Amino acid sequence: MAQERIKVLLAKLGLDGHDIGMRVVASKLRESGMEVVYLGLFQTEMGIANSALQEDVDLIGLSFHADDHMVFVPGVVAELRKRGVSIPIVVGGIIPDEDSIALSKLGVKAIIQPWSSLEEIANNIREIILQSQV
Amino acid sequence: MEKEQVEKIKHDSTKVFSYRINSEIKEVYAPEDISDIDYIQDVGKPGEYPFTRGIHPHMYRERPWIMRELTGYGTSEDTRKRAQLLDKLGSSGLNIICDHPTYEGIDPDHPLAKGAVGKGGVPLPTLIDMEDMLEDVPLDNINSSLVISTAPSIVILAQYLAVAEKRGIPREKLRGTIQNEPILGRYRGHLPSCRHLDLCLNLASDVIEYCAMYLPSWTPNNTNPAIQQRYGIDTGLELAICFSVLLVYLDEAKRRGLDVSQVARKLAVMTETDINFFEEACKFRAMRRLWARLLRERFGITEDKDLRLRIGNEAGGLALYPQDILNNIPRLTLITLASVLGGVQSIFVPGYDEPVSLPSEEAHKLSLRIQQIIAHETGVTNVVDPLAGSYYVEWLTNRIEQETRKRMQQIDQAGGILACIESGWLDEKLDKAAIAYYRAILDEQKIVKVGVNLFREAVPTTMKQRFRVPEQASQREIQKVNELKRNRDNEKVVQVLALLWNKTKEKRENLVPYVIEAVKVYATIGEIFGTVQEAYGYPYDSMNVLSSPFKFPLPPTPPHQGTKNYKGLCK
Repeated sequence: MAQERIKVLLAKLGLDGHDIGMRVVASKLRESGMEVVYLGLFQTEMGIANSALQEDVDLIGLSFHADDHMVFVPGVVAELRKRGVSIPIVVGGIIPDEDSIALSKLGVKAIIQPWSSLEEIANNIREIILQSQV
Repeated sequence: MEKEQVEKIKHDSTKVFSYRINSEIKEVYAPEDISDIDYIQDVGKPGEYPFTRGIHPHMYRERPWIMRELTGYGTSEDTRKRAQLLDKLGSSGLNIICDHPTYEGIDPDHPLAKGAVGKGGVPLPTLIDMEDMLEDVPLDNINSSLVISTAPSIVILAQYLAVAEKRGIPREKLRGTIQNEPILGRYRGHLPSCRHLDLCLNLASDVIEYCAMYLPSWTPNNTNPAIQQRYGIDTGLELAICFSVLLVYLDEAKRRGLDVSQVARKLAVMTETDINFFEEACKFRAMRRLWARLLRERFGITEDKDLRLRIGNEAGGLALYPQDILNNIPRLTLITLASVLGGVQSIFVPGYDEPVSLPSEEAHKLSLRIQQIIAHETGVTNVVDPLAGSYYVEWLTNRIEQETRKRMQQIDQAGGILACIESGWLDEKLDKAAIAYYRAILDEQKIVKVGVNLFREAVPTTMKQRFRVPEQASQREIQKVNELKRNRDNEKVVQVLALLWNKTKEKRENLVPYVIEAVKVYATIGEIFGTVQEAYGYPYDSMNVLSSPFKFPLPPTPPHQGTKNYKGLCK
């Protein structure tokens, strides 16, 4: 049985422009054989949910740097729910410990810390997708 | 495993590569490595051409560098309080950074400003915010630094000038700097307000021209190759990008018929340093020498006073890590020392907790203390350019100058820096460099970071938030702008913006005076920048969400009815 290619959406919400981390992760995921739908900077909750649906992605990766994760993640979760889909969300960047717990409660599957190696990130993402498809 | 890693590093010690100079480094340097150097021609005395050893003859013996600590969060009041605290501890001047909405030229009540108001800087959408921030600040007796690099920089300078005007302080007395470098803004994550290069160049040049004419002690452009360095590029490309952009501004000044030497004298650069100690110290030496030479070669400028490159440095940024966060304190100290040994004019030391949050008060104070201890306790300021004459240092300085020239040639061959940006040539270079740099740290351990990829702690690092912007700050700011929009004289706003629209459309006059007029009637940054963008034929809203509430040009004024007619135009 041919294995389907994993498709990951990467985006940042709001005005913060620190996107280098996300770009480096994108390059690694592509290299590991995944397809990356790179929405990049300045995205909205609704736009991300729409693109995720249209592109039929297996996972959504959101990157935060400016202490705005709690402003946006609940909205993305809500927009997906509105559309009746459940796509695993992974959050990366600068996320304080206390917010990691809150994000997990919202259903975020993993917090990628800045000290994760790129290899770890790629493996982590693959695993989460496998589990979500069981 | 860690021991194995160390062994491996030792094993490789015959071959040491520095990404910063894109070259292998030998074990020992000797006279033959710098046999082509002539002391007078290439090194020279401090304060004399080619300024390798510094732009002043006595350097820090006469006066230490300007110790700047960057502030900006919450509201203008929050920011002022932090700045005053730092001022009391001996920080020189006021160094403030604008928040993201201000950077993008949009108002705090813009739908896409959600979560960003007052987060990474101070919101300065209107003159009221600038007035509040500068309350009790003696503008005639302070060296201010306004950190905003994007195209709307012109609005922030106008606000500052309007406050001074209201207080009756003559422009000649104002001392300070505005970053005002939008051409590279897109590489700092500010594409929305820096998308149109013609607009970027014209607005930035208007500020440069205006300051050259009326503000003798103001630096109107502080080109920043720093963010380029965040991509992990080598010093050659970093400086080549920086100088290529500076030359664009000088070419434009020449095209406008200004005295290029007078403008060159006013420009300065703002760099950022990684922790590669000698490379960074030598970068500053190479920068000064190459810049002085370039100005002579390209514009025939010969007066020493016009050839001196003033350098501000951010000591860190790229070099800081959230793991074992206290490790950043020695990193900052060493980087600051390298900047001092390189002879820069001003230093800003980030907070050691900045990988995690805006600097806490404690971190902010410590950053300043690092500078003060180096300046007043270590004695490194006793001798000007103490590194000079080292075979290694002079070789490095040469190498960086040569690499920069090579890269500048490549940029020229690719059509110049503006073409390189428009075609994506530069994006590709930066992306490639960033990927290589972070892989070298995260996956390959080629670049060692203690506690990050070497000697890691077994216990997983935690991410403790050190400082959070007060929750209510953004709400307060949005309210403030909404109230202002209700209470100001909206007819006047429309008239003044209509004039700005016309003047922008004509493309004949410098826009600074018209922006000052707009600021004075409390037009917001969104309205002012939007109006200018629209007059250029671009969308009013840099985020492409809102449409203009105005309709310019205004219909001709019918006689006897005055301005009442315009009321309906402000939707």
